[in-house]
Amino acid sequence: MKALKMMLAAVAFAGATAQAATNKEIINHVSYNVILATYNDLAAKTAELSAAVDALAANTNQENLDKAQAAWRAARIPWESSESFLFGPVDSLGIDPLLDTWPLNKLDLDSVMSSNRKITVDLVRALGTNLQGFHTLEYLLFGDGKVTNTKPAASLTAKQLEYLKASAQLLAEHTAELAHAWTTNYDPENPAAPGYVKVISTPGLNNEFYSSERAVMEEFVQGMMGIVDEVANGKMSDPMGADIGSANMALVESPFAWNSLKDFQHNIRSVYSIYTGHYKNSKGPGVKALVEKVDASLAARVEADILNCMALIEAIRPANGGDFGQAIFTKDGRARTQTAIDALNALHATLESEVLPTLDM
Amino acid sequence: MKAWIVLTVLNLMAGAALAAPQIDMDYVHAEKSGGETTVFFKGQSIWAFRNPAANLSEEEIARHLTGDALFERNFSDDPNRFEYGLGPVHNNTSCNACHAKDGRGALPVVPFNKEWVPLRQNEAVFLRISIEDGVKKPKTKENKFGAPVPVPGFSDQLFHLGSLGVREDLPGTGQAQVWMKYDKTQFTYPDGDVVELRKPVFKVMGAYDEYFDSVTGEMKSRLYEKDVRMGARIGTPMIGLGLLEAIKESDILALAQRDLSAEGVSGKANWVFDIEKSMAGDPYPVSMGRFGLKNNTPSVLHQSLGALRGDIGVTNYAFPDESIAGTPLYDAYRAGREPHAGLEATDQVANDIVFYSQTLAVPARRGATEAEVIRGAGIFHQVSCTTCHQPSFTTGDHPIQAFANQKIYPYTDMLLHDMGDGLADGRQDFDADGREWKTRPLWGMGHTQTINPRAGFLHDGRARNLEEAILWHGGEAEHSKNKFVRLPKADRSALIQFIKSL
Repeated sequence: MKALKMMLAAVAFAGATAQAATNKEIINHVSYNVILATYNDLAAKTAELSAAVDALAANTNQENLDKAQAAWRAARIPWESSESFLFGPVDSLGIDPLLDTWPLNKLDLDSVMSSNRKITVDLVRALGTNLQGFHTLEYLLFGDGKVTNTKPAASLTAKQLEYLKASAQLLAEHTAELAHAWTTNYDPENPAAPGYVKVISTPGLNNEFYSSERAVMEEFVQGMMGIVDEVANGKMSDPMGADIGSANMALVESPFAWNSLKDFQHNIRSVYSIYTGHYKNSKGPGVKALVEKVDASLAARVEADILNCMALIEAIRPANGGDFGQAIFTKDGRARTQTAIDALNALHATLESEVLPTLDM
Repeated sequence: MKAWIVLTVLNLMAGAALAAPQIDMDYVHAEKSGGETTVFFKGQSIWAFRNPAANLSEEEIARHLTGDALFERNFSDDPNRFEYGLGPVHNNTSCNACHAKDGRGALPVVPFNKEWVPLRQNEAVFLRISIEDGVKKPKTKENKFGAPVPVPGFSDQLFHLGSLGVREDLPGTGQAQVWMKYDKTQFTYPDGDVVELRKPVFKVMGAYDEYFDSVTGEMKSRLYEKDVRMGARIGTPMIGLGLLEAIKESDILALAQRDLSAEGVSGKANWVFDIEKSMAGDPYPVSMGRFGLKNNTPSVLHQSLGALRGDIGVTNYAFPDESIAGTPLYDAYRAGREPHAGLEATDQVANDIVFYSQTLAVPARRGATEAEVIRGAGIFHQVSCTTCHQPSFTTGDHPIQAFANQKIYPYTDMLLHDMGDGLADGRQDFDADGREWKTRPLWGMGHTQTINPRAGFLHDGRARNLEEAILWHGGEAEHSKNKFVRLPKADRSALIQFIKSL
């Protein structure tokens, strides 16, 4: 019920703000106030995570561990909220795998912990992508996630704290590099290259990557479609398997913090942001403003569908505690997951067959 | 109508001056680059290479999607994980890492205030290595029918990454550390325009067998000996590979028979070891090469499963032994560890990766009706690019019915050509010598840098854009390059616009 109220309020609001915007205005707003803002938030939140981990290492108590865990969850939000626009530097600078490789290699992590090796940023940098980034930090901060997603501060070893510090610092370094690439210079080899936000927000014949506004608008819509499909048919379907017997906890992402459902919601939240142009306190025209010109009812329906998908993902959460990884092992949880998957697939079909064609109307 | 007239004139000019082979000029207007497999993308998008061929059956699309997930799978060296199989040495941890979004890779970032940078995790480039004595030998079972000679104690590929425990001295490193820098030169057009060109140079340090020679005062390794040749390879686009596999061998060999001596061109086929024939017990398991930058593998299966075992270290039914089996590094790593039973990739996983690699669609042409693009298409032929970048074929049979009998526009003759000293890597690879490379297909070029803004062209990713790639052409392509550089700037630009429309 609460979700429905929120949804109606948002629909009414966005309808009022996004009138008669041009593609240029949409692209400008989405590029700067959604995409760039998200990457700046990511850099800021990972820097805060690094500071929180440092504080935890300096003074290891439950309060500081709680703060570090909260900082991890907070940093996770902008990262997952960037997944409908994985364009440009996140790939070309090879940053994605350094932040978010799954699975974690627990065996090797244990082996580093039990060695006499001094743990430094450079050591972690040289280790595999599956020994750094969000999920390594998650495991060290939250424990193995099997019975609970909490970890007693007293169980943190000196080595784990060193590893936490080094990998949090590295995570913040990589996200700062990503934010710099979007704000200032997308190619460190070419000081004359602008921030990627400039590239995507100024399409035209002189633009190497996007020759028209339509091309950028298509990139936005394809990005929305891409993550909707990924959440439904990758992140949720794969671990769920065909039946309870084939459900696979090892395929669940963010299983240690029990943060999977939040991850998925923020993935879809990023679709909402591109569509409505609404990111945090910033409001402006998004893709919806273009759809509205062609078909106002379609424009409103898509927004409602996006919000409904987020609500259906939250509804997967087991009433008696746990997260996605626990839900897929119960009959009810699986039914709720399937409902969300079906809604996401329907949204994908609408984006492909109804929203995408509006670019040419 | 006007465009056709211009083209006809150009065609006649080219024909009169050069006795160029007959090229079917329908390529100028053709939009369905992959025939009925083509997918349509009106704009530019990072998703342009990520689609299954348009004419697959529902069952085939489901299989493609299964392969898609595997292509992105991060293999792990943790035997407790179901993704087990990575390493012990490797160049990357997933297929997708080198073929980002199924497109081209980029060289490591060299910040403008730095010179040498190390190859770290998640780079899209690795080094092929071999021993070279300059003598071409008959193909025998002993030399794997003309395969490059692996460096003793190493392999035919240098693995810069290693699982934990492979190198106690350098955690994360594989057989050796690899460093890269750029050598830069300038090219000046006859009209005075200047272009800076860059070429990656690699050095290898910290080899696992390295020792200090007190007599010479140098670090020594088998890898540092003078007879070792190294050549960089960058991740290439995954589109249309099943279609290239379906081109009739006789059509490719016919192109090798052309007399192009007037242009200084002489394409040839590579004849290479064929793992499928070998597994079937064929006493002479050799086939025409089609894939790899020197046409050194005959099929998508051989190429994909070779890369799965090589680049990622995942053993499979076609390549069941670890890539460094039999070397001291491997023996030392294995000592005290339980041997892993069986292959790391199941046959199903291996075959689904192959199927996925065969079935990625080629996107349709864009802007094919624009005057500038049409003009560029004519210039493309006028400067004889079409000689090697053969615009079209009609495919023959293929086990995947969707690829059979399709009129396709890949812009490659599938043959090897001497590309000159500038591009040479000095390594023989079956019948390819150190200066020869396969003509790269040009389809999808215009999407390449939207997908990956730093994507680099040519075998080692050195060219930052198409103009640089053209200027590196030498050897048999010298004739065409010289014609290109003498063009007015507007014509050079039109030609590049045409390539970007592909």
